Amino acid sequence: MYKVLDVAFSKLIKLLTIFSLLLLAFVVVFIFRESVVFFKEVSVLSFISGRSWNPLLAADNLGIFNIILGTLYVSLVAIILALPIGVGMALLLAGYVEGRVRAIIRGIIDILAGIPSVVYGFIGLLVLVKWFETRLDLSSGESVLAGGILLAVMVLPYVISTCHESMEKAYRRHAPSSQALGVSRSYLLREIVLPESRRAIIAATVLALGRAMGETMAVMMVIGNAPIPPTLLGKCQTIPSLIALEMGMAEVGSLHYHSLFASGLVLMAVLLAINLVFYFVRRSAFMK
Amino acid sequence: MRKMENSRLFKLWMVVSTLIVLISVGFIIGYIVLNGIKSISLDFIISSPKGLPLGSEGGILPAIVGSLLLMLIACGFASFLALATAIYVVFYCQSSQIENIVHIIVQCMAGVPSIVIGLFGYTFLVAKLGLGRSLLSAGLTLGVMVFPFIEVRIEKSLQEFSTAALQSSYALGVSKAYTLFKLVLPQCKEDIVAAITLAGGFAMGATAPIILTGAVIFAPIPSSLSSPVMALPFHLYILTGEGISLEKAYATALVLITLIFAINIISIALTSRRKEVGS
Amino acid sequence: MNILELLSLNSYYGHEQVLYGINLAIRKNAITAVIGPSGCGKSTLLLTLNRMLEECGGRAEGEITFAGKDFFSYPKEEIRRRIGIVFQKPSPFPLSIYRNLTYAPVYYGVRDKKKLNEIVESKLKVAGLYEEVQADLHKSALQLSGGQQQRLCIARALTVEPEILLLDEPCSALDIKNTANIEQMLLKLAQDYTIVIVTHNLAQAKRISDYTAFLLNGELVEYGETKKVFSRPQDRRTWEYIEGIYG
Repeated sequence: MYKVLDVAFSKLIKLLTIFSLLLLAFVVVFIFRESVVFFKEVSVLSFISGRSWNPLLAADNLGIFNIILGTLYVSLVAIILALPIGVGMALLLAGYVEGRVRAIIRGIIDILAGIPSVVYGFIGLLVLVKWFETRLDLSSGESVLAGGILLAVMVLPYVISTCHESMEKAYRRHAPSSQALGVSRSYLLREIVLPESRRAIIAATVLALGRAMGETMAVMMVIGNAPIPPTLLGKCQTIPSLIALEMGMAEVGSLHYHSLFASGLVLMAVLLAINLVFYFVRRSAFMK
Repeated sequence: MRKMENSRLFKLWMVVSTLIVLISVGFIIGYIVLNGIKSISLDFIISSPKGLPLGSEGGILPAIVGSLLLMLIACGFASFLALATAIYVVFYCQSSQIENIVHIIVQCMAGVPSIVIGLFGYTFLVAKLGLGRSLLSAGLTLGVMVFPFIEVRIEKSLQEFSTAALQSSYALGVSKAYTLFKLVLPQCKEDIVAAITLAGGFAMGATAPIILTGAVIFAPIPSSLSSPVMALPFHLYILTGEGISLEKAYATALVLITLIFAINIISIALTSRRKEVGS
Repeated sequence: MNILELLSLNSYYGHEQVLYGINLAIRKNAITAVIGPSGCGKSTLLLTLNRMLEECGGRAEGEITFAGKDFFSYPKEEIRRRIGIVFQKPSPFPLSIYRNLTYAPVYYGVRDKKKLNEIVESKLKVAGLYEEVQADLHKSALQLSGGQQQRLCIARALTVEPEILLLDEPCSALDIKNTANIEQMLLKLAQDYTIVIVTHNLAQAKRISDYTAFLLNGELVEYGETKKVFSRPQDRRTWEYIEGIYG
């Protein structure tokens, strides 16, 4: 009796797994196919290097160079802000905080990770953008910097938890012998734990970069969405917000519609590369 | 002397970083709660949006129900498949090569931005399959998004199950399926449920995948899978983006994060209960 | 009478050969001790005999006869039911004591509550655990002490009525009192079961076993009645091992 069920169950599990993987693969292939239609009309190179984006004009006005730059710029600002803060806090968590307090702080970080991006965007618009306008006397507070700051807060939990995991292990491994030498905690953290965690820090950077580049709502609400060359205090456009804003307007099957798939594909290509790097960095970190 | 200086700077760095994070969390939560509480009322929760422009008065009941339904569909769909995949990888997969392929696909999928998944849902489910902008389309799209999230967590929990106990079970001549159902799954069920609820919170807060696939500015409580829905995050986006009502936006944000925190707390409670039983 | 006969048995992990041409006949209703230094293949031998080796990524070849038939012609589940194994480290299931013991019987189709209670009670008694735990059969097995956990694992292995019980250094993690408990129990069990015990502890082998096999570097060096092996070893290496020259 059990024997039959056993075989049936293992077949079912296998079937469902294959279905899941096919589904995931299908998503990627689907987007790829929809973009290919576009790349038959416009070459990849001119799409990526084109400086003007105006879907209402002719096909040669579909270039996402500025938008790619905007995506990278906002994400880099976010990483530059989030990395030192995240690493600093992870070190403190690993070396100075224990037991209940650590659990509570980790809970707080989880809260940060759980807040939906649209809420971040909402606060960003009402607080950050407004502050820029009143304090910095900008005509428009919607800017790369606003997006970067907001994204920095959003990716912090990922940076902290990725770093903290490895730092805590390193700290625990070395604390007894270091204490036996009478060396202070902060010296141990600085001289041993921090250098030992560089793989984790790289992994955290890559993970955070991926998150930042793929983020839609929060960024879209504070960057002004203008496909112009980005400057720190000026407006810009990112690929996810471009898709979110224009998909509803583009007629299904039109060149504009396919161009949005194509920009999604460009974004995914970059992200897939980043994630593969993350996967291998993490795996080699485990092996070590 | 320089050593002292370095050490002080190092400590300062850690403390300042921590303070920045804690203050940010405090500010975000405080901002939403303090502003939200002023404009929230029972009526807001149990009535439909009214006024002109729509949403400037009235409540958000259809959005609350819509969000819960979307979460249910997304989690139901994704957890069914994710559980099977995790079980396959941990217990049935014989080759480490296949295991690696599964991991790479799931890892890649986790990196696909939610808006691109939305794009897929819009073109494939809404247009090609003709499901329309509906509860079902949006729910399935969210399901595709949370699949990797759930799979990774369930797989980790299964992986952590005691190898010694597994070996003992097989050594009694007992089959894998029996071992799974009687030994492993009962032991891991809190973790599994926690992973699914956490994913639920994630799905509930996501806006990008549902903008194109099912969320609308106004709809009554959905009567079937093919009706369009209101959803809290999308409603918040519209209220702010179109400048309809700041007051209602604060209240909506408060309801949204309260629901998500409630879900997260359930998940954390489940995980810690598992730890107590296990020790 | 021999219940298990091994003829030129070779066992491998991947490309690495662990056991070389083992010839061994296990007597029914006797205690056979397998001794030898660490890494000599003692544990691998047990895993081979329970067909758990393949679960650990290994494989075996050679001729084994079990109860008069070819060992490899049995379905592996049947082998595992009829030849039980207890591992070195106590490995109770994360279930209650009661559920630990009914786990396998339920799988093999025992549904009657009374019958199950009987199995639990009798096996706990055999393992000398009944008096210690009878008041609270439904508490988690993980809360038992190490010695109690190991005796529970032996009781659990017995719930499927195996003919042979393999034990892989069952006492290595236990104190003297628990070790004595388990040795007592094994002597009693030998009346109904065939027991093969791997042990590091020569005194233990001497105390409880009827036959002793000495393994070195994956080869069977000597096999015979315990008394003879310990008093007049035939092979110089056995003598050296017993005298503590290596080990």
